[in-house]
Amino acid sequence: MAYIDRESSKSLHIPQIMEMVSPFSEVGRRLKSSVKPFSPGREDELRGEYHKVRALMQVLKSHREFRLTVTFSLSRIENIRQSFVKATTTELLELNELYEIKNFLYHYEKIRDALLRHNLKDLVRLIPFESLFRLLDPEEQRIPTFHISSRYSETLAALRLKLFELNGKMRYMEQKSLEQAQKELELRTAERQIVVSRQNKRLVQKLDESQWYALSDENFANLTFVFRPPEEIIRLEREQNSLRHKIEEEELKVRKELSREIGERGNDLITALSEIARLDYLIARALFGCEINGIIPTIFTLRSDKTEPPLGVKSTSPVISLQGAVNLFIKKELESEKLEYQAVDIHFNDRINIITGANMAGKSTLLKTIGQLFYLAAHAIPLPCRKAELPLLDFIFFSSDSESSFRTDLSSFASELISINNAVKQPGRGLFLIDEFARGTNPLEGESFARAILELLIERRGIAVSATHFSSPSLISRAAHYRVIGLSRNDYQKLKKTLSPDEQGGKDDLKKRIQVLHRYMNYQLESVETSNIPPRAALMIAEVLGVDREIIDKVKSFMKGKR
Amino acid sequence: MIRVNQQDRSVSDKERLLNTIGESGKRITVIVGLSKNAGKTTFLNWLLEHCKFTAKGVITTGLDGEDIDLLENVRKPKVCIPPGTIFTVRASEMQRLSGFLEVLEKSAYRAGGENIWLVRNDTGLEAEIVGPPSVAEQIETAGRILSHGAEHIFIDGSLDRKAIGASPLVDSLVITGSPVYGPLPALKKGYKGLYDLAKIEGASGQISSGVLEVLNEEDYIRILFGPLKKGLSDPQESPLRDGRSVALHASSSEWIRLPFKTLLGHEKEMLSLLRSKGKEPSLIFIPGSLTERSFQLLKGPIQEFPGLKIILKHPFHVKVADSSFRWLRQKNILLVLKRMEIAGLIVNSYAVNGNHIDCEHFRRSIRDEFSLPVVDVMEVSG
Repeated sequence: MAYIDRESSKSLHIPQIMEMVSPFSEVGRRLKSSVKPFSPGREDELRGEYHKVRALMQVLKSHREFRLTVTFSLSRIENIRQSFVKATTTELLELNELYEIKNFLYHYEKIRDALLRHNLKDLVRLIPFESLFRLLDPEEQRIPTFHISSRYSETLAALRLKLFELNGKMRYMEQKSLEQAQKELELRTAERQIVVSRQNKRLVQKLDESQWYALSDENFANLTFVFRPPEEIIRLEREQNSLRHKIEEEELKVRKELSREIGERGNDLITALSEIARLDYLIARALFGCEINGIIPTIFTLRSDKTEPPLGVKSTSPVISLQGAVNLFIKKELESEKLEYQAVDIHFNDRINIITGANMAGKSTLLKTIGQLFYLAAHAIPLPCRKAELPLLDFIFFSSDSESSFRTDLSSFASELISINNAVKQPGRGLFLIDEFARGTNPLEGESFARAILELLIERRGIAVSATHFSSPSLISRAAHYRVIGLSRNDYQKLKKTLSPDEQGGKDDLKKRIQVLHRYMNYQLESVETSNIPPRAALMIAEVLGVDREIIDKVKSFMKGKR
Repeated sequence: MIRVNQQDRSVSDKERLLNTIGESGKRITVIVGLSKNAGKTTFLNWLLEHCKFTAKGVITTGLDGEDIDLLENVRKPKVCIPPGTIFTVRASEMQRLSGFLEVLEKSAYRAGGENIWLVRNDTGLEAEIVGPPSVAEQIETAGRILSHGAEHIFIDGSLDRKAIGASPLVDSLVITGSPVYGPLPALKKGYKGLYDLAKIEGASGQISSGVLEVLNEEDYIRILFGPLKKGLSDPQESPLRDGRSVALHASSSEWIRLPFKTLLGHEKEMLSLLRSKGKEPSLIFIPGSLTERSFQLLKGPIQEFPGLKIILKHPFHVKVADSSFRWLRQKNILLVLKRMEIAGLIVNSYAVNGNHIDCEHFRRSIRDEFSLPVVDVMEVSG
């Protein structure tokens, strides 16, 4: 089973948050997309991974040059696993592959050096390849460009020198010959190819009779002559071709030798590439941590059933403890509206927790924040909060009818019901985040369903956090109960004064009202006694949002009648 | 018509062309052809041999390396690359020449389904050069080549890919033509079309450098109401970016940013806006092309508001009929952010379709018509 299903992931805005964890190399990105979360039983491994992320965060925060060097070099690392595999099978490496290997080693050594300088050598296992880099850098230029250097072979050096001298000689002789031709033919310039009009009989005749040019093409308008180089140049051209051929043969020998030597370290290189991917992913997580001012959580092992206190008996140790928890997605949205985000504290000592609160008090955001932080923690990613203590779980499930869409042939309630039915059957310990379950059906049955599901989850071994407006679940005595503080009566009165009910009009007005409401709303949780019926603040919210006076008055009169 | 001594110009035009390209500060020259088989590669080879830069760079626009011209079934010349040149090749070509190349980097772009590589040769050789397909990628690649130490880059383009010539980073254009394009009168017209575009005045003499910089990145139409004054030090220039109407040059002038990129479909809004401000418009900036339909729309306001000028980003964005272009030029209405410099006109009398022209008549006719360097790389006189 997946750690998180697609719908839950989408509802919790996991893709948008994970987008912020961005490795620099292709191998790093591949690792990120394939990595599995830490599951219960692997707490020590997770702590070890977090330890590395913390160490990197400290260095990245204080050493800009480290950050620039390492991230630049990581961005230049390509996925050249195939070239390494090819080398191990003693196949001949092409020039571009040799370049890629040298380029990899160049940046690998830069990264390795930076890690050594900052005492981070234990983060990943980067074995040295200095000698292999030197092999590909015989001129000790310490740059990633590559060519088959003449230092690889004395024969190659001699052949190249000979070709260089020959080219010079040929150029000189050709130039001299052209100058001589120009002089003898009394031309103002001389070119290797000349096009002359048929009408220019004097020049045509001159070129025709000349030893320097030969007719190469003619048409009804023009004649084309090409320079006829002296015999000596033709002989040198033959020598030039032969030299080129010999250079190619010698270059092939050098490449074979280089391929063989690289092949001997092929498996080490494959390992090195994997280690670079690991480092890249670690750095991406550490940079994310720096960016969000994140922390490393305390990971504990959830009590086994045997040591767990009976449900309903207050436990002193937490099941989830998050101080100043931030929902990064919402925070970003609010910041784009120039609104301040209110971080929340969440302390649950019980496995089953029921949250009530007014509309717009942030219950859904709270559930999503918990889900996001559990997801990040299971991937050893720093958390957006001040302090956190949480356990590892086998899966995360988020239930809500507002965004579920996995079956278009089902109603929202039916989809929600089937999802939760599947989730409770999932083996292992899960985090069940249930947002106003059964709100899409008639209230009487919905309330019973909501309660039944929570009663069922009490028997399961996971953690459940449920937000509800129903009264019945809030009567479950074996669960812990919380309320989002929301809007106080005083604040409501102030708001009523700030936002005149007559001041209505369009989107801007609503936006303003939401902004003001957001400023007055207290999103923190407070513990409440069981049987404390959920607050009824819908009318209050409707008034603050500027809902038509006619509707408000009708609602008030209905409610009066009911009372 | 300019009557010139043909013998003098055969030599001096080649020198003038090389001097223009080699002027200090110039980094990129693009060779464009009036048609296919206009002689671009032959000219590029000549240029690479004769220009004085010690470290040259060469790229092409797209994959232009077919050995055979499929339409005309003629073998195309390869590029002869002098030692120490930085150029762009595919991996397959690099493998063929592996003993003679230094691999500088793998570019982020592809041509013909293969990665493009930046290489430098240590000996003269013939190679099939390639380039990325989009202008932005070509310019980025040119930048990388410069960063590896090239002094000047030659881009082997073609007229149908002339967008590269419209890049503000291109310093000079060289136009090559052959009778494949048409008979001599048509060829003259082809050269003249580009020659006239190069004569469009630059806007730098009329508006400040700050505004020029902003307009270079602007994608929406803008209108300047009020008198056109060159206020180089006006501190209120920068707010132009946010799209609000702000006074730019003086309290009596303001730029309006329109919410559309083209005039087409917005004729009425445009006209009512031009007449609504109570101030005369002095400039209209059009970020895209000035088409014949757009011109017909603007003709009325141009006549209504004497002194109104139209600014385009580059002369290649003028896409009006010949008669309209003449009208605009006579009235001196057009300005461009980046002037187009034509370094020279290249004539090639050979036509792959058999419609050859007498080479001397061709050279003379073009020289009589244009004061620019006119070069036939196969010309000698004597």
